Amino acid sequence: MALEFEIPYPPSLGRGCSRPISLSAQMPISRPSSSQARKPSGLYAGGLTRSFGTRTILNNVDLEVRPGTMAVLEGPNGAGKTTMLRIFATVVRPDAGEAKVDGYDVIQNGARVRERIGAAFVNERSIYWRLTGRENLRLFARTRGLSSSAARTQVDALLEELDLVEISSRWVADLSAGQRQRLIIARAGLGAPTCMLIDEPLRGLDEAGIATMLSFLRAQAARGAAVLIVAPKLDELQAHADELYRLRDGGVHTWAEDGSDGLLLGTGPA
Amino acid sequence: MMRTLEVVRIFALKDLRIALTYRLSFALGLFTAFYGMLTFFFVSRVVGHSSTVGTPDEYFSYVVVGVTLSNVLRAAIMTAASNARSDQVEGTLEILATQPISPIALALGWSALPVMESILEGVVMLIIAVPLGFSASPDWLSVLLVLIVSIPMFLTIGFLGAAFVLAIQQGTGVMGLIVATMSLAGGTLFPTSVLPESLHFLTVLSPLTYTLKAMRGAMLEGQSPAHLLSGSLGVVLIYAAVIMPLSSIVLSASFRFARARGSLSRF
Repeated sequence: MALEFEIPYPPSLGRGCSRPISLSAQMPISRPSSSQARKPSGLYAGGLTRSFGTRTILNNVDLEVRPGTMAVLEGPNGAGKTTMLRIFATVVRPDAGEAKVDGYDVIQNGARVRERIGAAFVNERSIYWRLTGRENLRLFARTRGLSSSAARTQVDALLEELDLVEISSRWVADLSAGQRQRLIIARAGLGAPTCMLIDEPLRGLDEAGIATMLSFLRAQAARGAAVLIVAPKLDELQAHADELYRLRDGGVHTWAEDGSDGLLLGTGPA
Repeated sequence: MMRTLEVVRIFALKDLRIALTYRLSFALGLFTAFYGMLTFFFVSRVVGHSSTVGTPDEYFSYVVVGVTLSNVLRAAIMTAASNARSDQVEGTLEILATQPISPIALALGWSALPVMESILEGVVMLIIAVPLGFSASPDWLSVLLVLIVSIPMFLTIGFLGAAFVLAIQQGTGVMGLIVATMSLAGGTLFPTSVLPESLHFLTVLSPLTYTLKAMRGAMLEGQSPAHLLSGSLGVVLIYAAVIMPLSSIVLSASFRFARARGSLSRF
């Protein structure tokens, strides 16, 4: 069955081009339902542009992350990776272009978008330090609209999944940076969001923590979430991502194994 | 509406959990209330016996109601801004802005526990004041009505402070100025009649003037709800009808402004 899909930046278009093109191909993906056809799922950015002052951070950027996909967007510091996440998370507005979450525009339908996303930014102060890890997760589970019992169940499951059970009764102030990092990313999984926006998930983690985190992120994609991860370096993410992109000079490029910009090569685990 | 109340409850419980980690501050608050009442008691001994404020006991009762209610309303006005600022500085504001909660629910959540604390502190202050000579003939229904009308109205004035914080990373200073002006002109510590003519416009404009008048009427003179509604409390209701929707609009607009600027994570 021929389906339309997009790949960003084929090599023939040359470096600096970030516009996607449409191709027809045999793809082992299920046909979208009619409602999905009206409201495409996952993350979509088209012609996204954002400046701060006179500096243009994102310039006409296109990106798409489909449900069930773990995409990694790599780029140097200041390239605009986190700005991209923040736009999808509705905390920064684009100057031009559009960003959609499950078909909902981040500007027109911000409330709908916020119901669908789980976000984790690099900021270890984004949790309440004088609450325990468990109390933090329960608080945010309730703000996501989960009932008390559902919150308890989900929090227990996330603590287990990210190997945080033992330290869950400690104040966040008493946790290590890596433990806080895992807690912040556990929070992004509350309410089983359809789209996850994760900033530098491996930052500050030891080897065991990295393995736990990668397993958690893969599990999120496996349950059908569109997972967008941004990081300054690919490191261990490379082997686990379904799609790899590079953000440079304000545009998104696919990433080639030899480090040059090129056609998408990273396919992640089977 | 239910969702808003649920969010308010969640944030009040969160603030309570955090407050309980600072146990000493609650005890210190009680001592402050005790010393405050003692201070006003001795001041009343000095400034009493005048045609303006009556006997020392009458002035003491006058000032106890003024200070107690003003403390509650100050908490209602100030805490949305101060807690918004705390979340901004501590780094939790941006992630709260990604949650599916409305700006109004968030602002009410910021204020819920401090207002409840201030009401509890007010009750303690009244209990302390009784043996010192505080005498009242309250109409409890009227007292309740004054609180029900005035607290939400002052809470929404507080939304403006939170809006300033979101928009320009400042707001507590502005709200402090507003509270100080209202306290001075509204008759918290002394009758407004002693103010110079040039400041009377502030008295007329300040919603605190009418709220204090209504509460003193309810607490000290036992005025009925109908009597209050036809007078000072009616004015408070008019203020509420204007300020509540206006402040809510400004708060929502400030969130949109901060999102457009990308300044939610700035402090």
